[in-house]
Amino acid sequence: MNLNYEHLPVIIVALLLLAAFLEPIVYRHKKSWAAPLVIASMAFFALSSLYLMAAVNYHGPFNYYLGGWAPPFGIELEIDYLAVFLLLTFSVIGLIAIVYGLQDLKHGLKDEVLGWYFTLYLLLMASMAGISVTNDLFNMYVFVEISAISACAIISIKESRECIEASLKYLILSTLGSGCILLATAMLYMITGHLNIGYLNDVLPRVMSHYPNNILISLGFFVVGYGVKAALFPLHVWLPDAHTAAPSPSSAVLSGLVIKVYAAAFLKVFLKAYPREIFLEIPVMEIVLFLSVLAILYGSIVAMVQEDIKKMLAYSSIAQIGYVFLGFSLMGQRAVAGGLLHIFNHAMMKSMLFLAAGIIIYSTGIRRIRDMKGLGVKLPLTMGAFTIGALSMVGIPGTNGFISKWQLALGALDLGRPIIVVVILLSSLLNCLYYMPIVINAFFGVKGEPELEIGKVPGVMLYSILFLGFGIIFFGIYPAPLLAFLQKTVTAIL
Amino acid sequence: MNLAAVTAGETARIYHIWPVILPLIPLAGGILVFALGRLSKRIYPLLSFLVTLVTLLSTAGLYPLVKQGDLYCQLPKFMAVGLSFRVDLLSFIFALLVSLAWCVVTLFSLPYMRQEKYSLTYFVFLLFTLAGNLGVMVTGDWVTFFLFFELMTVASYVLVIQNRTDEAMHAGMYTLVLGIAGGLVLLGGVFLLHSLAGHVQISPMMLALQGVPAWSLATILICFMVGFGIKAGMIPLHVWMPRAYGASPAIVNAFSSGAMVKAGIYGIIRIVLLVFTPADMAAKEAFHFAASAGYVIIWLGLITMVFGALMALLQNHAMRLLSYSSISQMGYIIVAIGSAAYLFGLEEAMGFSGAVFHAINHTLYKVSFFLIFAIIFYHTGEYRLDRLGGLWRKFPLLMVFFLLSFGAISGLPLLNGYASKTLIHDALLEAHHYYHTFDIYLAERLFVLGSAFTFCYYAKLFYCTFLGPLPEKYNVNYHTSFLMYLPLALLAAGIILLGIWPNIFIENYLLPAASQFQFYRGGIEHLTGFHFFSEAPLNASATIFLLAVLLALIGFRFRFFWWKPPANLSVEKIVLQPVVSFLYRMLTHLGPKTDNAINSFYYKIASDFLALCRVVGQMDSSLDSFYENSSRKAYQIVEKSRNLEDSLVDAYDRSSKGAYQLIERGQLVDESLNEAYDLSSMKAYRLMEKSRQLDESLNSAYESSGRAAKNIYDKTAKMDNALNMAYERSGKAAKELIVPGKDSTQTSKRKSKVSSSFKINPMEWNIKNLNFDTLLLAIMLGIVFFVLFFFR
Repeated sequence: MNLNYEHLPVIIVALLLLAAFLEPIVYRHKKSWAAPLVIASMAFFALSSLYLMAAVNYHGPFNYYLGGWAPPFGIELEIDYLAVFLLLTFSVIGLIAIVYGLQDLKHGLKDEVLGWYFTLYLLLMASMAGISVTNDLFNMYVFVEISAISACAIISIKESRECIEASLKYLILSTLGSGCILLATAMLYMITGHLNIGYLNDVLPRVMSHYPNNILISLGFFVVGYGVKAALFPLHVWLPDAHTAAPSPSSAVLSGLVIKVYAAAFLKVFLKAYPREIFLEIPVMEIVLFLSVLAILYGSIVAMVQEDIKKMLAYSSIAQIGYVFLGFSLMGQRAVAGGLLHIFNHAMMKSMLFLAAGIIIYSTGIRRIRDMKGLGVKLPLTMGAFTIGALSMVGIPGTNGFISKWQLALGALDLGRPIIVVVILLSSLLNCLYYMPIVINAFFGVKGEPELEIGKVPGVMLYSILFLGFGIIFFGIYPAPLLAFLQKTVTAIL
Repeated sequence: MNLAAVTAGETARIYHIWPVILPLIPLAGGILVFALGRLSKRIYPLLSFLVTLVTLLSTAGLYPLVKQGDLYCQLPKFMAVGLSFRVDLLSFIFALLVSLAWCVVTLFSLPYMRQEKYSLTYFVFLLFTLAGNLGVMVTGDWVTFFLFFELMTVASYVLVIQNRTDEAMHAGMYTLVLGIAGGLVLLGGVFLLHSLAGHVQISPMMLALQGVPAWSLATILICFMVGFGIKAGMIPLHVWMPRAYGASPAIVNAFSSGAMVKAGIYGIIRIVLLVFTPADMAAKEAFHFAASAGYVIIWLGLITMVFGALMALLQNHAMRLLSYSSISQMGYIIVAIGSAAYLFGLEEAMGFSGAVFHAINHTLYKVSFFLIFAIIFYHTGEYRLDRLGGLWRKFPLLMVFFLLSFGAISGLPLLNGYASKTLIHDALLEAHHYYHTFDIYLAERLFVLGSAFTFCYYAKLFYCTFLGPLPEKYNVNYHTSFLMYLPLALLAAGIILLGIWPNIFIENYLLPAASQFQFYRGGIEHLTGFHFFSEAPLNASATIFLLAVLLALIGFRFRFFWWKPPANLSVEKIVLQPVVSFLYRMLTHLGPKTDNAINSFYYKIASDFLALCRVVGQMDSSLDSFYENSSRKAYQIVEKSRNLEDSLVDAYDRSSKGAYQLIERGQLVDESLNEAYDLSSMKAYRLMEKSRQLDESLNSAYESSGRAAKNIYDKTAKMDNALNMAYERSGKAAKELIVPGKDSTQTSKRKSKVSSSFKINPMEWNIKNLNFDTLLLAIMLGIVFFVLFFFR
């Protein structure tokens, strides 16, 4: 059978959207089918991403014209290495999180909103898939809006006071960010007449000198717009509340994937749409670099003093998104590869840590870090996985966190910036200072049997974090294929 | 072994998988022990001993292969740059040393750990730590090295906190953080090396680094030295050692001092004596950097050595004393490495052999010291020297072992310490011989002094433990397991064998190892058949002993050794603790401080906004009610004025009716007048005579009409009055309209009171952040634009 894989990206997005809107109906009439439907769509997403990755790896990247309309008029999807890399990351982590979430959500959510939750989740996934594959700025904006709104709704789905507060804050800031992105897109459209990234890249060098103000304003708006959405340092203010308030599987997805998709969109816009010489003249990447360094230090320092484990993880995410932007803004081969690698690695680590925290909250109700003494004896596998994640965050070799740090540090040194290495190492030490005490207290903090009441942990939750923990170790010891793939990705971009 | 064959040419490279397997044995063993430990409590100590034994045997089994050339194995697909393993003779010696120490101490811990509570974690992490420690020795590049180095740091944490006391937990955290910090600094050095040289193989790199400015090289070296120095206890990075040793059991310290510390030493040897040398002997000038680094390292070593010895003299806790002793002994080795680097191209083999030999010897006697104290603690539960004493009656055999180790560590001829100390001392003498500088002479003298101090503090340890009165409570019969003496006997055999025949060891192992480095061949040949028991070294040894005995006598006589320095007088207290606590406080307070600052900023903004809103709200509502009232009043006015109009119209109506009546009356009057005229003309004509009567009637008619007119006038005047009154009243009403204005402000006040009693707390109401965030977004946008436009 000759399966024409070129239609697959559109099918993914369309199918996820369809499933999303079917979900409430199904949930209303056939409650038991709702969960299998969401799992099936996510599994389809993951499998077809895997298939696409294999196909692109084998046949090379391809472009797809939506409805057969060629680019200047139609929407173009570009399925290059970057797109399949992102698709695979999002789909696999998304699948794991929702498989885990089925148990956790029944526990944490009201019965009648569960169907809506699935809708929102699939919408979010569809929009992330869309952002990954689209090659059209306006189309990208549309998906960005969809994902922002569905993420907001996911945060507020618990309907508690802090959830609604957090999601309101997120909604307003992210709407402002969307506005910035739209304005920037308009600025580019105004001078080039194109929205297609490839065409922009062709036309911009010619018109750049005529309309410098448009270029500058669009750059500024893009930085701030995507900065807000990806929680780059001074614009991160919405993140801790939002990611703490959401249910654990959502936190895992929001922290592990959603902020990354905007970073990836940032990469697409800045390195694919704008001509490279622009960054030699305009220090916009320097600004981003500076902000990301601040993010790394600030996130780690503030995470040190948090009492709530999810809040600590959220602050840690701010630091980690700093790594991603650090890699992108350095614009070297190895540095960008490091940033992309960190998208993948951090997606695994952080979602695993959030899911592990979710298990802890699920089975003991403990959220405060200082109450976690002796948890390692009671929940050995969960805390073992948490330990792996913590070690990976610190960057102990043998975990994938080390590989990211290695790539980023060497990328920085390639460009003659040893100070970045100091920042990376310092942040590793800070990570050690706030992750290790949790692990140590959990395993060695209590003499004898700890007095904790532990509920039963569903196997599916445990297996999903163990799977992620295994992934962390696996990609820490054997990252070679991934690195080779990223090498291809980066060569195609730069 | 034929030395010429080795020195003749390049060492062969043999591809072999065994170096990879070597650290995997204890790693797998650890997992196995963990799995089995849950099943049975009897088997796992024995099993872990077997694992260490297998590790030892398989390490030793490598010797025939290593003799033929370097074993190497590369796994290029793993980790970031590929893992590579390499075992040359030096690696082999260290690997053997480490696995030997581990095996011996594990054997010892079989009886020792029988009563311990956390023995399963102890045995499991013991094996993991061994894997890390052994892995460090067999790696071929710095990344793999770092992998195992970190494994050792993390795994040994669990050993340090073996006692689980608060002190141990603190010391463990301290050790872990310092260890990881050191590892990260080391990693920084590895990054720099990778970016400057292009690879991270543990091989001579000086040619690849040619043209790199000296400060870059120095930065790399400092990074590596800090990383290794923390592990090796180099002053001032030793601070974790007394703390950790004081808080953890003696056997753990035996591992640490006997094996883990050697990882740091091994690293220093590799970085200073191998990496910073050119692959080609001919490039003489490339040695300059290593030579000048060597000078600094000599002094670092001397400071470590003398300071460690001085601090050891003043300790009262056996473990702390031994920890300072370890620091001091590491000082010897660092001096040796430094002098080897300093003498590059000349006599570096002497320093090198001294360093490696001393590392081995140190393991032998230091492990036996720790084991001796482990036995003593096992029976008495006491490490403090002032509570011990007179134990020779109870443990005569222990005293023999102690004296043997004592002799070895203080450099008694025919024991192993003598040989290595002689080599180091001779290396310093050679340095003086070649350079003739005063500071090297001074270094040599300090070395002698340090050696004398070594004797003194062990004399103190011996005196306090074995001599003197026996405390009453220890006067019971102790039964010590045979298994506890066996390791000590093994170590003692090693001490004696190496002491009597040092040349055999040096010529068969150390010199071939040295010849794999870029050393001057002449220097290596000088060492063949080195006369250890000739006059000069014996003299030096005698000097040291004389000085030592003198110092010891003075010290004992005036009880200098029991002087307790004020607690604040230590590097840790003076420098490190304030710095660390300052940093920690800064870091931990910075977060909340910023958060608080931002929060208070939010609150400020929020409360200001709220106040503003409230004022505006008040104004609004008062305006509202004002408008409302005024409109109501206006309405009232309009209504009243309409009433007024009505009444006016009424009045007009009435007045016009009155006027009509008036006119009617006038008409009536007219008519009556006409009638009267008619009548008068008629009467005048007819009744002339009655004119007087008519006159009178006329008069009366006039009179009545005048009265009626006056009446009408009166009535109109009355109407006028009524009008006036109406106007006046409407005016009053209008006046009232202004007065109710006051009234309306009062009501608005009442309303505002109500609204302020409806409390809005900005702390609970999260709108504050929104204000701030949007503001922040705007500010960011502004800044970005500013920067962009500024740099355009």
